Formats: sequence, structure tokens, C-alpha cells
Amino acid sequence: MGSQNTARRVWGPWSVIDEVPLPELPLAPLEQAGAPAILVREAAVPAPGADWQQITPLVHRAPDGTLRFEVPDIAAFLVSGDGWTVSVAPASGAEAGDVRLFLYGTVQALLAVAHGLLPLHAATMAKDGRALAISGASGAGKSTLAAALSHAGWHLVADDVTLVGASPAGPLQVSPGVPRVKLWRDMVEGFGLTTDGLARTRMELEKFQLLPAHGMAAGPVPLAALVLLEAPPPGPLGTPPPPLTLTRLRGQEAFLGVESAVYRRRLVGALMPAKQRLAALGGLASRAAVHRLVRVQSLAALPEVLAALEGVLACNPVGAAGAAQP
Amino acid sequence: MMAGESGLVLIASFPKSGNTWVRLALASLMRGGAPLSFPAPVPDIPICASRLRFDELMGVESADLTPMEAYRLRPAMLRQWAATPSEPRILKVHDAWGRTPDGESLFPPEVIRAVVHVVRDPRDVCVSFAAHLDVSIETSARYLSQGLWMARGSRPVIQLPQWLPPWSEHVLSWTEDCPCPVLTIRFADMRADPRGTLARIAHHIGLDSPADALDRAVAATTLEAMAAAERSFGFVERQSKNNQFFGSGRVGGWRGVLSQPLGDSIREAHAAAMARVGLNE
Repeated sequence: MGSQNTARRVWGPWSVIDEVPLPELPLAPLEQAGAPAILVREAAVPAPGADWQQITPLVHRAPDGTLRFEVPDIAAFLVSGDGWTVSVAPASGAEAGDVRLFLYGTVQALLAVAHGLLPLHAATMAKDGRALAISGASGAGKSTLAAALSHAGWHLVADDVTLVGASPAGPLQVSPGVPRVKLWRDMVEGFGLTTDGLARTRMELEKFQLLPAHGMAAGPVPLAALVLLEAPPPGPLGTPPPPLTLTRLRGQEAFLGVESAVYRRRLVGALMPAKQRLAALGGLASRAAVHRLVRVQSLAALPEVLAALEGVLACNPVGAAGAAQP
Repeated sequence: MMAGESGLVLIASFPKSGNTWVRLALASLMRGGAPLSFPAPVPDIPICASRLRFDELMGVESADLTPMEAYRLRPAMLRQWAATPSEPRILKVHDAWGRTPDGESLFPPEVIRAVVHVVRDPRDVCVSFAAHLDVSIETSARYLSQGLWMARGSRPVIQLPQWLPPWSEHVLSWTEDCPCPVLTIRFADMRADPRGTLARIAHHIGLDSPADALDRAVAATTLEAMAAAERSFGFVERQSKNNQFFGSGRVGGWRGVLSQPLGDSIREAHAAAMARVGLNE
């Protein structure tokens, strides 16, 4: 963990100094050399104090706003209240890749909260300089669609955790996240690819890290729309699945749709001040076009789903026209 | 169940033993005996091993954890569940009562108010389980004698992996080892006297059961009515591509399906546990 190997890298909207090596993240361009950076360092992480609040069994908050997250046998993490220091204490014998997996997941969400950003549980893909955030429950098919769009020439912006910039002026923007799509073996093989040579997310899991076929977005991308992925309810035995439906949500429905897309919704809801959270939700609901896409989850249905997503992007220009009628 | 009431109620059973029927009857009773709406009739009595609930209650993605890591966190998940008033108070359970490798109770007794334990003749379970999983009768019988992992494929599904020990061990874990108040009811009791059995269950878990609500709940949730509703609207918990979730529910229905030797071998293998819960009558 020598500081001589420390690099300045880009992680979503932030610069980071990686005293704990974060080799997946791209190096920061020279012009960011002097910008404020989050320090990710290896350091002891104390047990939660008696006056710390338990948010979940794994997440605690200190009176000064410091956030603590622990995955037993992997690592404990501490995010300073100002969001500029992340302390990492790997468990004895833990794999560095396993530690980073949780750093890029729950810890990223804690960092977002510390910086006043609402993390979305979404894969975000961009084409022609505009981005679609594809949200859905775990297992709903976000990463599969991200991989499919990537093969169709779209650029990856973020997989799994999407951070939307909430500046009051200008369009909503998503900054490029970790440059990989996490995909289960059956989906990798479903695309006709092999898992040979792909890194696993964890040694014991059949989940692999796929590099985006057409690379990452070069920088922040304006967000055109949020698509909520759902599966149709089951019908009677033997009936064919219903056709794909795509519905634009408005008003309260759009607001509730955005709320359903928040990453670790309960945790973020408990940590983020209500006013800030509602403002972020409202901003997203009014400035991005929110759609519900109900479709069967199968590789055979993919072409139709990709066409629907192309359609969403085509009818939703960003910026002032972001609320344009489809 | 009153909102904010402390302690969780578990509806525990080996799969295909009548757990869903009990949940449907309770769900109707809690609504004063109202009919239920398919394909998702019991959203308020979810399975305790729900992956989505784990992720939300713990604040970590269970799909990034190994099955054993997630299993070891389940006691903490259940304590968090109990401490979250907005979460349902009645849970479906297919696990056996047991301990994690850390020695903790999988279901921390201090947050469990009552357990309704549902048992069914293992020969009927064998037939129903085969239809549910789309496997042969012989494979189903092997699951009953050897135990099986549920929801543990190469990729996660909506439930966390659950280890089901052999049928006898599963039954006895609830009747012998669980220190919480356990009411064991037999599928055949539900069949023969649904109203009386539902009243006993309601009493055990502290749920009001006015006579008219009981009448309506029993009428709304006959096996025949549920099978008909599933035929018309589907059912979210159906797993099989070939068979409805709700079968005939005929007590002793195994007789026409299992070969005599297979039926005998199941009875012999599980005789002690069957006797313990009164399944030999």
C-alpha cells in the first residue's frame, strides 16, 4: 500500500486518491490534478461507539456524521461526515477485489449521501451524448440490458449504482462510474460470450466483470430518461406472456417511480435529510422522463426491448426540452 | 395483527405442506374475511428469506455475498425486521429451526412471538413437491430423505438460499428444538375442520377472530376456490411450468400415485417424526 503507487483517479463525479489501489478506475486527466479529491486509505476502523446510531445491522452513524459499514470477514469502512475520506480496514485474509466490490456498492452510496447526491439503483447507458438510466430490482435485468446495449454500440456510464448530478441549473448529468458490468454466467453465455478470461466479482460466485464492448462515456452525460424495468404478473398456466408495454409516468406516479429506483432506498432514506431527498426526487421526476417498461425477462425478448429503449431516447431530448411530450 | 405489535409470527413448514393455505386464510381473516385478489393474494405475509427485504433491511446487496455469508447474517436481518414497524409481522418460513455456524439461532427467539407449524403426510408432500418442482416422484422422495437446497442455483433468484434438512429432521426441529410457543397443525386438520383450525391458529398468534369473519375467511379460501382463482388469474408463487400451485389437496392422495414400495419406504424412513405429530392415524 505504498504511497509511491498512489494515483489520482476518477470515480463517478469525484476525483479520488487511491492509497488503497483502485485499479478499475480510470486515471484522472491532468487538468483535475489540483481539484479536491476523496482520499481512500487503509486505516483502522473502530467498532461503533455506544452513542452511534444503528441504521441497519451493518451501517452505523456517529454523532459527527461519520458513517460506518461492515461486511463481516471482508472489511469495515468509514466514510467521514464531509465525504472526503474513506477509511478501509480489510479483514484478515480478505481478497482485495472483494473489498472493492463493497466499496463500489454500499460505500459508494454512503459517499453519495455525504455529498448530497441521491444514488439510483440503475445501469446507465449513453448514445449520441444522451443517457438512459435503467432501474429495477436486483435481478430485474439491468446489467443484462446494459451489456446488450453496449454490444449495440452504446457507451457504458454506470452499472448498478448511478449518481445523478443535482445542480439546479443545466441538465441532469450522470458521471461515468466503475467501468465494468457485473453479469451472471448464464447471461454472459446467453450473449454467446465465454467467461474464460473474465474476472469473477467474488471467487465463490458465478458473476463476472464484463468490460463494456464499446467503452465508457468520456465524461458526464446529460440524462434523458429513467426507465423502470418490471416483469409482467404471472398469468394462468400455459398462457403466453403479455406483450411489452412502455408507459410514460407523470406527476406523483413519476415521483414514486423515481423513489422506487433509489439504491438501498431504506438506508438512503434514513441517512439523507428529508428535504434534500425530496428535492432530489422531485428534480429527477420533473426533469427526466420517467417510463415504466414491462416485459418478459428473456434473451428472446431482447431485440424488442432494445428497440423500445432506442425509442425512449429518441423521443426525450434533454435539457429544457426534457419534459417534452413523447 | 395490529401494526406495531412487537414480535414476529412464523408460519413454518416443509414446502407443500399447507403453509400457503394457512397464510391465505389468515390474510383473509385479517381483512375481516374478505376475498383475496390473485395472482398476488398475500403480499402482507412474505417469505422471511426474501432477497429484496434482506438487501433493504441490511443495506447491502445479497447477490454480492456468498450463500453462507448471507445465511450468517439472517439472524441480524430478522432482528432488524422485527425492529421495523412498517414490515409485516407474519412471515412464511421453509427453513428448519436451527443455528448458524456462529451458534446463533437462525430465528432469534427474542423477536419471535409465536410459531404456527404446519405438517402434512410426507407421502402427500412427496407427490405435491414433485409437481411443484417439475421433478420425478423418485427425486422428490430423495429430497425428503436427504434434504435439499432451495433457491441455490448458479445465480440468485428472489429468495435467499435455504437449506431444508430431511423431512423428519425438519419437523422435529420445530416440535423439539424451537423454544418459542409452537402450535403444530396438520394439513388434514385444515381439510377436515378449516374453521376450527383457523380459530386455533388465530388464538395462538393473538389475532382477533370474530365468528362472522372466520366464516367468511374459510369460505373465501377453500382449496377449490384458490385453485379456481389460480386457473383464472395465475399465482405469483407458482414455480412449475406444467402444474398449478394448488393441487387437489386430497388427504392420502398419494395412494394412487406412489408405488407401494416407495410409499412404504417413506413411511418407514419418517415413522418416528410422523408419530410425533400425529400423522399415523
